[in-house]
Amino acid sequence: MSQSAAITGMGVVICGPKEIPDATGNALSAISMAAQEAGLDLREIDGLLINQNELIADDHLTLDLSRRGAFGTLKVLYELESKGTTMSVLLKQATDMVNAGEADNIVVVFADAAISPNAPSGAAFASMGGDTGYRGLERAGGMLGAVAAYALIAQHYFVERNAGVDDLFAVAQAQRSWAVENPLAWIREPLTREKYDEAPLVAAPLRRLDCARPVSGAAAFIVSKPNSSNSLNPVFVRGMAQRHTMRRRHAPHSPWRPVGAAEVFTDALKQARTTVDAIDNLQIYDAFTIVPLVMMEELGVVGPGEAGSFIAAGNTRHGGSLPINTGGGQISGFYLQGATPLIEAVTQLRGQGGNRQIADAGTSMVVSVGGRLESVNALVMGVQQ
Amino acid sequence: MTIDWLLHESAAPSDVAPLTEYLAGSAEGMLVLPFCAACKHPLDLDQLHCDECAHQERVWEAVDPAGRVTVSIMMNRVDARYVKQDAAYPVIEVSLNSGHRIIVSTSTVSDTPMAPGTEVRLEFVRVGTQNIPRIINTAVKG
Ligand SMILES: [Zn+2]
Repeated sequence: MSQSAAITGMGVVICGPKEIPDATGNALSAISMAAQEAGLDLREIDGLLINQNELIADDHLTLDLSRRGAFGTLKVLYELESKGTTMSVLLKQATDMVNAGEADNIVVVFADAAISPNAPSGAAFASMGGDTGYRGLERAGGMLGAVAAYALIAQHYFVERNAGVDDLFAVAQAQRSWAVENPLAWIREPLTREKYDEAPLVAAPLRRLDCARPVSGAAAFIVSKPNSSNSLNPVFVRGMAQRHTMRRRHAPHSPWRPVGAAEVFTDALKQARTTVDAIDNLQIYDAFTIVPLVMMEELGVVGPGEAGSFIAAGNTRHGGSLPINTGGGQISGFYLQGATPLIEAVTQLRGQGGNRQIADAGTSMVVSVGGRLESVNALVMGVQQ
Repeated sequence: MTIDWLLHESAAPSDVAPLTEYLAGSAEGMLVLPFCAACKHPLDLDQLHCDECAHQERVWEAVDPAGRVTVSIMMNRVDARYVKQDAAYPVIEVSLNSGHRIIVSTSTVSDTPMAPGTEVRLEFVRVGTQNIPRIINTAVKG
């Protein structure tokens, strides 16, 4: 049986807060790191798939990345935008293309320049919106920035699931417990309730510690057929499913639920020819603490309204029955959009988690979301093809 | 028309599509929203085809400026580019009796959220050159 395509290299660059960000430079650095792991000369790269990222407009990757680097003749080159699910979609596409023989060594890359010494963290995200269309009307209603949109989702969840701030705190604290052991995490001290309550409210009920930590940086993955020049165990993309039920602003459509998430979960497992019991870690796109609560329930891994108590009981921590966001997630780790949960899944499956390593990690599920929980993607990755 | 207590004119929406009909209605003091021309299903402002029956024509109609609060939040981080005051203020999602959902604040100063299920009526305030709906909250404050 011939070997299937796999992730054979990964590179991650995270800038310090004093560094001037450069999306293209960081992307090329991450690509070099990934190529080195895969045992590739840069000129052997024949595919480049770019996560289009216009969340913050100033500095982002374009197709010109292909000229700025030292790649071989490219057989495939494009940018894709599928909101927070883009990186997962691109990894699946790269896998399929290598398996089909359309290219041999494809790079999947994301870069963000969210913060710089002149723009404090969160400032760029706070200004999202504009004066036209729905976003224009929302702004005229006083709703400013992405945090407000997720604060409304949190309130819907609270009302319909009889939940509250204790549940948000449970997420923040559990993820911090993982971040303590992640050298890439922005904050590595255990989180107490006192510290959480001291964090400023951004849009109540969400505090600053309920929000992802913006960083400038890049992530790159090489997808190729594994061979003896790879320095690390390959990670296989085994299945993917998605639903996109764009958020309508009228009855009877839900203003907050990620419709179709349960089907995404079961479809992804079916694609991967595996079962829920095989999933030994779950990495969820967690731009806000409310997201893991909602997604765990909508996927069906816990019942409605049970996520907070499940997390507070320690089930998602190290040694728990279902480890979740084992690098601290986007909240306590770093926010490289859809790359964050993928980086952690690859880290665990390669056994590179150090003190946070899950014993015998064999199968990960990455759940990414886009927009206001309107796009949902589940990607199953494993050490077996 | 009362000048808005909350937002500077910099927060006024542009009257280009898809807000043209909506803002033309609000200029006349009416809340004008789109419906499917065939089945009368409420539509989003920028929605061209009906999600209920797939019909491709819509009509704009003045609706009862009233509904119920679904949820509300407080905006604690105040963006001085758009907001006149320093204190946190409520942002409220209202499900109108027409079936449309809109995001609004209150017509007079408020520092509290509104309970889900509260029945509300809207009036317009002035933000820049536009009329913007706000929940009438004077009666609540008594
Ligand atoms: Zn219709």
